[in-house]
Amino acid sequence: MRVRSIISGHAAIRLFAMKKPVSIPLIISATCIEKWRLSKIEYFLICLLLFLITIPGIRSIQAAEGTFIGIRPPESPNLILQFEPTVHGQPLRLLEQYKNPFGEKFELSIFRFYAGKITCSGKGRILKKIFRISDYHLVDFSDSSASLIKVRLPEGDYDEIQFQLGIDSADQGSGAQSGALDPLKGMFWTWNSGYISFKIEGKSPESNEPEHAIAYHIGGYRSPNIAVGTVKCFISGHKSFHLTDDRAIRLNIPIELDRFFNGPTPVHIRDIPSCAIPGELAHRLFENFSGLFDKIEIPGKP
Amino acid sequence: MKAFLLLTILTGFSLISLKTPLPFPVPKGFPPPVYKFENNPITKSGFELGRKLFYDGQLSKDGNFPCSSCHQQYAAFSTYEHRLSHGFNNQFSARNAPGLFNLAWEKEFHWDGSINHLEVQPLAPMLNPHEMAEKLDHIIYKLNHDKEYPALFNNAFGSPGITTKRVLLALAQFTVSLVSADSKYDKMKRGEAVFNQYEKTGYGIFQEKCEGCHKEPLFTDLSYRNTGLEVDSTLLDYGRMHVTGKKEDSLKFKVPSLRNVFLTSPYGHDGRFSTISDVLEHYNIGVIQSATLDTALRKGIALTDNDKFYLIQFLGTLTDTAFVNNPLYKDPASGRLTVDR
Repeated sequence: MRVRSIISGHAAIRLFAMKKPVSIPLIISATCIEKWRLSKIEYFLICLLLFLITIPGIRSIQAAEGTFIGIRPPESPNLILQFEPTVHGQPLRLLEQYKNPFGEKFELSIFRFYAGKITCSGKGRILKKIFRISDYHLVDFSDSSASLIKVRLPEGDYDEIQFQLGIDSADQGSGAQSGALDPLKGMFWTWNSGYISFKIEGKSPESNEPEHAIAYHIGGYRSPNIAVGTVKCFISGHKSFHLTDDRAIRLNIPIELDRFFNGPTPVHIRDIPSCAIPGELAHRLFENFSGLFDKIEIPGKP
Repeated sequence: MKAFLLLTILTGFSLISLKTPLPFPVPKGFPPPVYKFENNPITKSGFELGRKLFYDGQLSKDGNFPCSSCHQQYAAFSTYEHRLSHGFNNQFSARNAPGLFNLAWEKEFHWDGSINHLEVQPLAPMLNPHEMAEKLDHIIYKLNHDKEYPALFNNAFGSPGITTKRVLLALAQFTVSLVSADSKYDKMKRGEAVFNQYEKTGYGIFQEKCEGCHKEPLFTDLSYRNTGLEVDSTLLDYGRMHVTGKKEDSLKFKVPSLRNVFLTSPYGHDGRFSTISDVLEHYNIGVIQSATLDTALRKGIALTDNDKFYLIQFLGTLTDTAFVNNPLYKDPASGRLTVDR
């Protein structure tokens, strides 16, 4: 099995930016030669000194970003994963009223989840090929630009996409985070450290909570009540999809919310209007949620 | 011409020195720190920014509750003489504020270990409606609109921008630097001081009866234990169980360090003991039996009045006056009273 990791666009940009402090001193020293006619030894010494100055900067960036295969220029994405939540087969709109499979009315104001560590695989010439992108994305349906994930993968045919819902234990206790993991995103429990895997909030007349609120803040990375996991989606109808370097294709990942209520643990709003702490219930509701991600649809025209 | 070149090079080097990590000297006899300094190297500008944030009321909703309102240097950064601390709108905190020192050796924070990293700890009090009661986006907004902070963040992190991560990294640079390892006990260990007869006797009793949990040199083994305290009917605090969800963790709390114990009264997770004598008397005759009671405490810890006297003499040697008077840790904006002992 051939496994290769890809530098994410974000990391590539940071790495690209790193080249700047190197190039500026070189320009300065080149100017020195022309105007001031330094000897070759002087020029060499200056270059050496200026290079030494930049070393701590380079090293600190490398330490922050991990190990890389090499420097790549930033590339535009060629695969767009569009998440499409539906209720009763209709696209979900926030603040619109629906009924769950048990006839209970509800409306949602927040629907967010973490998807990350996307792994795409397909048949190679001899062996199966697997590509993995290690960063996390926060999918947020209150922001249309955040309901999709853009990635870049090498050309080829793929037939399966896996991703992780939530933040795994290796990334949970690593201190202050930025980007998708910024606690400002409202997905971090501050009183009991940990990232929420998915957050569904809204109202229902069936809820006996204050203001008829419903709130499912589901997460937890401590055994046995883990609410983080990997889901595998297969291409429906087609056997595979083809990626090229020069254009982006879009794949839809439907999320039928009816099945969240009607999952292995039935969610009657009257009985379970809220769950906001890690535990056995959160673990079971996560099972309901992760069951929603099983297929990928290729839209008629990319 | 060459002078100009020299100037360029010197400027380059001075820029490095701003970013050069400050050393974190590990006190003699201490284990290696748990905190990963390589991910957040302490710099002078970062430490000073963290200290300013620690003493700044802007991190709280009404401006009255900086971190330092509950973590006072003269009390080894605990709340002096308060069972519970005061927070926003005359509310009480749910637990006794612990002293802040030697945090570089701790993996988990709070009495129940609910906080999994030093850097994310400040989020808990900042956003707790009973404590600092502020919203994260509002804190970032206030700091961005402050006269001084934008430049200070730029200095500390090498580029403009005030983010959650940078606030937390700066605060951690300050709090992780709070090292207390210069008490009479430490001096005795280093051969710079000698215990008197009372202290020596107390040390012997300590090693025999207390060391099992309050392990040297941190004076805690950082484990969670049920020490036989009855649950308070108003607080209903079951400790570690709230974090793990496991019955076997019911009523377990983190073993607190005994360093600076003379300064951190009152004692216990809810501050129920006013004096050290009260705590010792609890172990002597007050331990309540329950399913999760620590096995070492099944019969309590028998202590005679003499034992208690000597133990207290020894515990007094754990007070680190250099730590509580260290000008590096003081609020740079005000000249506060210092403790002289």
